[in-house]
Amino acid sequence: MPTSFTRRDFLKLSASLAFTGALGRLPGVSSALKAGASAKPNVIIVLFDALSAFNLSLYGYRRRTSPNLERFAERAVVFHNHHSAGNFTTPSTASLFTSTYPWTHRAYNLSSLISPQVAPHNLFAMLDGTRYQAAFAQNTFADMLLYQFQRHLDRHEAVDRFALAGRTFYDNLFQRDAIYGMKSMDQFLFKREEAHGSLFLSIVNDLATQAGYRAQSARLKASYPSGPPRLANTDVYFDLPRVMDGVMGLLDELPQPFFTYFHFMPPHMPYVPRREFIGMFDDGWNPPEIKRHRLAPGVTQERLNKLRTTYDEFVADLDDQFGRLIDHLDQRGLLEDSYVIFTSDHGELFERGVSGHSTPVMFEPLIRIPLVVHTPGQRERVDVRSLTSNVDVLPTLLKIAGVAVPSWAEGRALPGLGGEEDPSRNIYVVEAKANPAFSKLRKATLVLMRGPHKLVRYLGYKHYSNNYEYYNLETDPSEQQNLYPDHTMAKELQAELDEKLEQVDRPYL
Amino acid sequence: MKSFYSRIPSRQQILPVFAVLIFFGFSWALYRMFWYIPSWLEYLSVWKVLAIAAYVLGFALLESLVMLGFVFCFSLLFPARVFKDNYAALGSSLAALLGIGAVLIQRQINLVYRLELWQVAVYPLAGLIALALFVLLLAWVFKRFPLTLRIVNALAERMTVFAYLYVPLGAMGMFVVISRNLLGQ
Repeated sequence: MPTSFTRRDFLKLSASLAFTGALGRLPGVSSALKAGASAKPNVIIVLFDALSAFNLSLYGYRRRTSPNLERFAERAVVFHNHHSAGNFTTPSTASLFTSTYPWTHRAYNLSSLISPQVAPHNLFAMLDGTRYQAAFAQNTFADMLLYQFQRHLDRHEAVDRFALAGRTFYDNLFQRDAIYGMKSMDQFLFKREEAHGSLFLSIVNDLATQAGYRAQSARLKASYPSGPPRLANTDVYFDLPRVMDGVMGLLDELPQPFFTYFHFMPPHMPYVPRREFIGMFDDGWNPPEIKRHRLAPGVTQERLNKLRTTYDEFVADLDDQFGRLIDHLDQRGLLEDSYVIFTSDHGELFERGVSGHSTPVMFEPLIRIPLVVHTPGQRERVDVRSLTSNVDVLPTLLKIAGVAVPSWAEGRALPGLGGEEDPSRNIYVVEAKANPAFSKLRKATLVLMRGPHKLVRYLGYKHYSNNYEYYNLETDPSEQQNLYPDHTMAKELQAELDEKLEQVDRPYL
Repeated sequence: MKSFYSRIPSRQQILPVFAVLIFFGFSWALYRMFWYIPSWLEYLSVWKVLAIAAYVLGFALLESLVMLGFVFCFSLLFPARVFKDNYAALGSSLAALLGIGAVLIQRQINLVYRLELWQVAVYPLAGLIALALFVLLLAWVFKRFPLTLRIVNALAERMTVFAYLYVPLGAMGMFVVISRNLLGQ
């Protein structure tokens, strides 16, 4: 049995000591936490895809969608005003990993990669050598980003790990060249529901996949009457309890201290809750209708209400499984010496004629995401209401680890976890999927938020080419009164946002 | 056993069939790829796009070989006087039919995702029966109208130019893919 003490072991030990020392300085941390801090803390990030803070009872949603998250929050720091930097997986997870906004990391498109200049500055690189690092993403686009950080990961589980049926090519056949294996095989030669790059064999693959799907659907009809959940843009089917079992098993076998990133697909569409959750919100309640936005495709209110209800059921389903995970961590004693971070990559919208998240319209349900952080041994709930962004996660972890926050980070440590509240702070949200990655922004939605003030710039859209909207979220939380340009704050924010746009465009002019 | 061996075609007979399959496989892959390249170039460098192209071309060669294997196995189902004696013409016609059929199916590929389990089993089987009937019909036409046989043979002969063009590209692509996966990125 090897017993040598490597440089990597030394770094892990040093960083563990740094973690332990940093804990005692955190505001809002109980004495129980400080007592538990003598152990080496693990870090567990649990991310559920497309989970809007607006649809969680934890944040006051009318339907009881998240009793387990509420239970977890009783021992955690709850962030009430946390925002994603993007409105879909690629830009938002890239921001989470690199603490940079989309206009810096340039991963604008669905299958974009983080720019070569920014990619080395990532969470896994920064914590490399401090922890055993493991990652598992059910979303292929997030998984692609993980492949960019592959050399910093001790363990990287395939996207179809713990799946029921269906396989991806890149994760199974081309692990050493997965990014290009995916772009050529899974996204081109064998892509789903669109003419493929492979003329003959893709049809055979489609038939085999469909046979697998039908067989699984029949087998799981009792549990999933509307079909088994599927990883978006793939033919991989899964059962969340089984995936959660797999993740819990993984956590049990990882050497401590560890840093893990788990990215679960639910409640991303298709919304397919298990049988016991179907109908639980047939309560006749519907939110008040909000006027359709000019850029909305015009989904009917009836359809939106129906989709929202199914989505809420799916949220309750995932909450049930998150409860299982938390109980497991508790039973294994991991809550005593782990940071557990519950969050999402973006939200979901069911209003103004828009459903889902592939939209240029940036209202709060789409970009406000949950963030609940349990610190080791924490016993009491702490609420933080100041404005935060998912670019703040990396600086927070670094601060806790006692590592200096680098100058390239565009986020800052979260209040309550080593950071300070700052009402004058700006955060941004960028939707720019219609743009080439390395040129000036021509068609985009840009959001600047400061305190309760929110300015949205719609740039380059047909019939809505250079429009601004300003909302005061304190007086108008449902964003129905566009006060632009009359509000004094609107002009001030506009000048700042325009200047910021010029600044980020400058290298590409 | 003798009858079985008598059904195996010569290399000269196989080449035009392979050429037709290569023509369809590569043309479709390249057509789709050139359609995609502008979007890839939006966020990938030229070298990275070439890496994807290597996968696509390498796979097109592999796919053509697999389809050739299918045509070969299918031809063994028929007596030598039906298929093997006019292998180039019948095999090329079958390959062309498969190619055209595949293009048509690709245009409506999302329909596959509506099939029930029994349909997934029955439709390909029905397709195989239809192919067998097509071969028998064509064998009769070639026998009854020798001019058609000469025309098809001439066309198939001319298609071999695509094999000389595409096979090296596919081999190169395959070499790049294997190297990347053996050596890492």
